[in-house]
Amino acid sequence: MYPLAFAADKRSERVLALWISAAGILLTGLSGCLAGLLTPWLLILAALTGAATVAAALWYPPRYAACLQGSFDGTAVRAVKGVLFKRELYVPASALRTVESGSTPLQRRLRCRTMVLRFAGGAVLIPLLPEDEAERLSQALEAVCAPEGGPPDGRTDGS
Amino acid sequence: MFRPHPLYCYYDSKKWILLLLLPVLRAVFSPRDIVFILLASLRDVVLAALLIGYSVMKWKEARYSLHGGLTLRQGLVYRRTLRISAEDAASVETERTPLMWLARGRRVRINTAGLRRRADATIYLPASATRGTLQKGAGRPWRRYAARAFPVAVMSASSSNAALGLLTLAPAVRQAGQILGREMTGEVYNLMDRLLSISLPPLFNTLTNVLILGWAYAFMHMFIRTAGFYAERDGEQLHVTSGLLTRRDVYIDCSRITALELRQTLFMRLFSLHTVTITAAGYGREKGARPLIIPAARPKELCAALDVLLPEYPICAGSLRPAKSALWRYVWPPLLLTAGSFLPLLLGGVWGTLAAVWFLAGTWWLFIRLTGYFRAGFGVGRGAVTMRYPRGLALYEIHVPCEVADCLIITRNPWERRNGTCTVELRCFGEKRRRHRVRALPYEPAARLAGCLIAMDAAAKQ
Repeated sequence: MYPLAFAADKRSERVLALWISAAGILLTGLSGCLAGLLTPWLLILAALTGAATVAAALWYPPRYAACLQGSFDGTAVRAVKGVLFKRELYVPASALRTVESGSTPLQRRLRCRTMVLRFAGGAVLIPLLPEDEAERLSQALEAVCAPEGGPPDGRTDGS
Repeated sequence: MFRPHPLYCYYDSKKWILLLLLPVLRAVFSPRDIVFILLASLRDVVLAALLIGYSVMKWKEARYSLHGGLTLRQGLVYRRTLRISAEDAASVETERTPLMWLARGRRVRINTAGLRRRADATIYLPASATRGTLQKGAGRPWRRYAARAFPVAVMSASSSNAALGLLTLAPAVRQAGQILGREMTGEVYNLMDRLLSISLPPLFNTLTNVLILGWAYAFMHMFIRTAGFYAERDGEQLHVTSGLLTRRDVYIDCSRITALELRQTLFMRLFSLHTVTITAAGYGREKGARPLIIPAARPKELCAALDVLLPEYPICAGSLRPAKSALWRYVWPPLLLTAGSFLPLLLGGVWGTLAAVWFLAGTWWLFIRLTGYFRAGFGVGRGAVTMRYPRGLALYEIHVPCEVADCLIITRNPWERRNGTCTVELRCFGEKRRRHRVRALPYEPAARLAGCLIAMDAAAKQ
C-alpha cells in the first residue's frame, strides 16, 4: 500500500481556473460599475483587471497542478505545493489529531476535495486533490491514526 | 463532598458589587434632593443585593471532592458536575492574593491538555485543603532553583520595553535637571543631563512622561509578579512559585512539557541574561502571564538550573546556520526603517526630534536582527529539534522533543530558490499558537534534517 502518492490533475486545474475566472469577472464588473458611477478613467482599471484575470486563469492553474504533489509512507505526510512560494510540508502521522476532507459544490461537480490535516499546533491544507486520491489518503491516515482502545477516560460535563 | 471557601461568594459576585457605585455616581453627577437620590438608589441596591444573594445561594449549593482528582458540582439554574481525574491534570495553579491570605483561602485552577482560553476548573478552597492535596512527594528526589533579585529586575525592565523606557526617560531627566540645576549646578548632574537630553519639545515631553509612567507601571507589575521566584523539581512534578503580593504556586507534570524556550532581548544581552519559559498545557494561559521556569540567568547559572529542573529534557545543537549571503535578508527591514528616519530630518524643526527617536528605534532593531543572524540556527538530533531565530525585539531559542513536533514546513520564495536557501517553520502545541521560523537556511541540508526529524519521530513512536 505504501508509499501512497497523490497529486493534482486536470480536474484540479479546472476548479482553480474557474475560481480565478469568477473572481476576475467579479472584480472587472465592479471596476466597470465604479467607472460608470465615478469616472471613465476607472475603465482602465477594469481593462487591466480583465487582462490580468485572463493571464492568471491561463498561466497559474497548470503550474499549480504540476507543483501540488505528495506522498504518505505510513509514518508521515509529505507534500509540496505553491507556484511562486513553494511550501514543503512534513506532518508525522502520529501528530495528526483529525483528518478532514471537504468540497464545495464546484469541487463536487469536478470530483475534487480539500484535505485538512489537524494537529495539536494547528492545521495544514492540501487543496484540490482528486476525489479518489483524497479518499485513499484519508483512509490510509485513518488506519494509522485510529486509537487502539476506545475513547480515553476524561471529563464529564452536564448535570 | 465539601463546600468551597466563602471567598467563592466574593469572586462570583465581584462584578455585581460595582453596581453599588451607581447611587454614588448619581449623587455626584446629578445632584437632586436627598429623597430622589434615595429612591433612585434603592433600585440599584436591591438589584445588587439580589445578584449577591444569588452568588451566596450558589456557594451554599456548590460541593467539591478531591478523591483521585476533582469533582465539582455547582450552579443553581444550570447544575454542572465536573470531574477531572488526577492523571488528566497537566498543571495545577494555586493563587493567594492578600485578601485570600487574610481569609485563609486559595484559588485553585486545574488545567488539562485541551486548548482552552481559561482553566478547565477554578475552585476556592481553604488553605489547609490545598496544602494537603498538593504537597505530596515525600521520599522522592527534591531539587531547587531560586532566582536572584537583580536578574529578575533586569528581566522586568527589559520586558517592560526598556528601550522605550530609556528613550522616554530622557526628557524627564532634562526637566528635572532644569529645575534642580537652578539650585545645585553639580557637574555630574549636568553631564547626565547633557547625555540624556535630546532636545525634545514640551508637547513631546508631556507625552513621553506619560509613557515613562506606563513603563514604570509595567516594570513594577512584572517585578511584583516575578519577585521571589523559585522552582523545585519533585519527582515527575515541577513546582513553580512566584509573586510578591499575589503568590502563585504552579504544579506541572514534567512529562507534559512540550517545548523549552530561551528568550533574550538586547537589553538582557548586555547583561548576558536569558529567560527560560516552557510550553505546558495550562501554564501561562491567562492574559499577560508568561510560563517562566527561570526568569533571568547567566549561561552558567542557566545550565546548572536546567540540570536541576529538567535534567532529562532533550536538547540538541542548532548546527545548520543561515547562508553567509543571507545577511541582507535579516537586516533589510531595520535598515529601511532607519533610512526612513532621514525623511523627517530633512523637514527640520520639530521633526528633527522625531527623526532622532525614529533613528534610535531603527538602530535598536538593526542590532537585534544582526545578532539574530549570527545566532540563528536549526538542528535535529538526540531526540529534539532546536531552532534559534530573532522575532520582534527579542532573540529566541526553542528546544522541542521530536515526538511533539507536529509539522515542519519548508518555504522557498523565488529569491530563495535562486540562492538555494529556504525558510523553515516548525509548528507544535502551544498555548499561544506561536510559530517558530528560521530564515535563509541552506535548502538541501534543511530538507535532509526534515527527513531526519520524520525518521526520529517514527523511531520514537515505535
